Amino acid sequence: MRKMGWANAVVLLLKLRAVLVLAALLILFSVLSPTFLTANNLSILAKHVAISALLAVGMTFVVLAGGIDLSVGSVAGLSGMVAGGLLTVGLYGHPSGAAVAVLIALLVSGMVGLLNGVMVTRLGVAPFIATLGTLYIARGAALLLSHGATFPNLAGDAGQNAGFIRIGQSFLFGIPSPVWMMAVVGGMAAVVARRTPFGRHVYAVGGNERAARLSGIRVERVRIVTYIFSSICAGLVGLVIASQLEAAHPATGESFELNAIAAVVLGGTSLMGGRGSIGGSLIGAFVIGVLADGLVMMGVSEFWQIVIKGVVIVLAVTVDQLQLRLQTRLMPALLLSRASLGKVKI
Amino acid sequence: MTAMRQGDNHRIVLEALGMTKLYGAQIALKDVTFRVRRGAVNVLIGENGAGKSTLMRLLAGAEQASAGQIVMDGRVLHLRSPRDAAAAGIEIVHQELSVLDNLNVAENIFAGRELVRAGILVDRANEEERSGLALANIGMPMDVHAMHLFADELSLGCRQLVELARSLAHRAKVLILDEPTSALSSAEASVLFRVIEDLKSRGVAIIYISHRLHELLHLGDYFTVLRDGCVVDEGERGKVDRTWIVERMSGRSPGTAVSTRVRTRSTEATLEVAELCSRQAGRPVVNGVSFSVGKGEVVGIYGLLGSGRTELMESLAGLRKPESGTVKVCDKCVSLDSVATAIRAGITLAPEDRQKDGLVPDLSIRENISLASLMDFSRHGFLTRGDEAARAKEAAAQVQISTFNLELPVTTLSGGNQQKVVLARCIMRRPSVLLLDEPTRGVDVRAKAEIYAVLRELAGKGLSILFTSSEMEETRLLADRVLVMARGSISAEFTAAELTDEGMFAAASPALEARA
Repeated sequence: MRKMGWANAVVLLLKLRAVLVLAALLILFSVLSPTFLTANNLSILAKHVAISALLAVGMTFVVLAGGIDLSVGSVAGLSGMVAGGLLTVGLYGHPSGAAVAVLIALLVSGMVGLLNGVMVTRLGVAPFIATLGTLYIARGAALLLSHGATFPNLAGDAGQNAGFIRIGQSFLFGIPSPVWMMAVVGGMAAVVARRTPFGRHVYAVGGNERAARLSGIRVERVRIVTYIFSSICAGLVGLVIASQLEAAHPATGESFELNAIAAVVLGGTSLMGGRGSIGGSLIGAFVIGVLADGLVMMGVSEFWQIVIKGVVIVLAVTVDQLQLRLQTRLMPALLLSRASLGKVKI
Repeated sequence: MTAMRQGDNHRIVLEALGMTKLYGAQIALKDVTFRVRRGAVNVLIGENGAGKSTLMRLLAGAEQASAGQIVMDGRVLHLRSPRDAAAAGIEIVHQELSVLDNLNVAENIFAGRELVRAGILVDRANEEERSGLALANIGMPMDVHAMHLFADELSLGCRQLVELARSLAHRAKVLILDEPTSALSSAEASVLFRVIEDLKSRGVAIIYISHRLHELLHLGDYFTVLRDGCVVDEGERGKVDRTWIVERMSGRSPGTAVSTRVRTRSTEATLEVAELCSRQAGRPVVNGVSFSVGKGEVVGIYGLLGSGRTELMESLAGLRKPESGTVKVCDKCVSLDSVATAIRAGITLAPEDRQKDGLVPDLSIRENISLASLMDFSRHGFLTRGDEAARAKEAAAQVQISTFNLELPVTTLSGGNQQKVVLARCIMRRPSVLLLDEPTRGVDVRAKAEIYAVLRELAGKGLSILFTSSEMEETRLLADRVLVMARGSISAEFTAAELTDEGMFAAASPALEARA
């Protein structure tokens, strides 16, 4: 019985490792740098994290269903440029209002996701290739919208676009709006993943596509929806950034996709699909954000930061594999311990 | 024949002594001793799951025995990989072809053992020359142009011969043929038989596995019968006939009464299939099949590999669009465009290969059971966990899954219980017709009996069951009525009372019928 308790504890610890790593990092940096744990710094940190967390939440669904989405960074850029163009130039020379700009930007983002999904499911293009294609297409489109220039002064000369600026810059109960978005989108996504038929279908499609199909699940539809959701999350990120900068720049979001994938993987989601969670990805995004922020505050060279980030990602995935192997090895012990508990109850 | 026996031929070249193989807690082989003679066809017989393929995997070095020893020409072999086996002169031609479609014929023959020039460069000319010889040897001469064809441009029979040539190009002493004719036309098969005779005369020991009885009797010199992982009997050519084989394979004499079960056939037909046709690559695989299944009736489809039984099941389950024909469920015509429409019409398939098609390994037992019926316990788009757990528990109890905790990963269950999870998922949708493709493949004897009992009980409650099986015993035990398929059509129909193993065999092997 004692041995079983030990086995349970080890597996639990390994499962919680992302949280433990995050806690360790927070403690480490607050000891090493007195300004780390100040409200001001945490607020900045959370705002940084919110960007990659939003992308990671969308990416998680795609990865859970067995795909990958490399286009999210470009979609963020395109979304900001669409909104920026509408706010400053507008259609037929009439600048649009903030609400219209936001809606159209998200609609365009969603269309890119639809394109990704259709290419992957109906045309049989490998997800890596399809979304690599839209990575270039969306980036090119963003550059074409302004011939490479920035749309400046999105607030408007008379401040008529205050609504748009509020997206990224307002506060509620002292917490910045992007953090609220991360919490709301992340929370909703977690509920969808765990508590709705759709969420279960995503896991099933990624875990065993044939079995999912034989269970009557519309595999193609599930996949397409995951790509659309990922793109809309990316579009939202583009809007947040444009709103924070009060300008839309066509290069916004370059290499964001890699950050998002890193967060997803750090959070324990398998790139083979079928295994992982939204919560894990959120924690993964925090680990990356805290690491980056902490290293900056400690004055670690920018180049070393990149190396350290890479090492952390590789380590995390190695531990992930270890956990799986350990879990299969300990499974008989776990089964026994639960069996004996069951008997006691009866 | 007798002249050959005098010489070196028919000397024992390879012995597998006391082979035991465990998969987890399951015993696949139990203390099996198998002797292979030179210049002879050594036939291995047994039903699916009897352990034939396991034994062959051990001999081919694909897996290692839990206990036992392989002796070749008086030397103990340690086969840690297929490479070791090949070095010792043991070659296997797999049941599932292992030809690489993206390589050409010559490249296939030397795949993994490329001939090299100057230590690094592939010696194409030499490879092609030797491939040409090997192919000519088996009666399939190919010119250089043909040798450049990619394997996926060849017919199935040709690919089988290419694989054979691959083994021969490496001068096999022992050649294992695992169901070599299951995908071949009779013309292609007769080429293969000629090659086998030729190899025998050159002293190659051939291990031959097949379900086709007439082939075995035609080719075989020595016979070994496996059942449930044990050797039940051995015999020699001349002493072995059909009755001998059938008796030992199924463990009972074929003449005895089949079933004491008396069932009144219901007049209501739940499933009616008329003139169903389906093609694959232009070839008809299901050819004008018509039958019906009554309410609460269990109908078995018996057939050899390639008889069209799997394709028929796939058509009914909505996985393969039929070319023509009608399917009615409870007197209503259904169009089988997709699995989802088939399920809505009340037809559900429990697939043959649990691991590949049935289970989602990352999900728990509960989640695997409820996978097809999630909409049943969703309120306003959310799953109600309590409902789901209760229904899953109920379904699990109905199929007698022996576990106390449905929250464990589905991979912790044994093969038999995993199959019950798939069953539980199917019945949770409350289908009118349950299709089962090889319902007990890879399941141990006890779990088999439990699954039969569960299926009987479900039928008793009015569920119509249609299953395919390549095991005679299973077909006999489970079915009220048996349809035998051969070459895409139904070649015979038996009620439980009329059923004999002999009759099933005869109807399933049309080649034999034609000759008789």
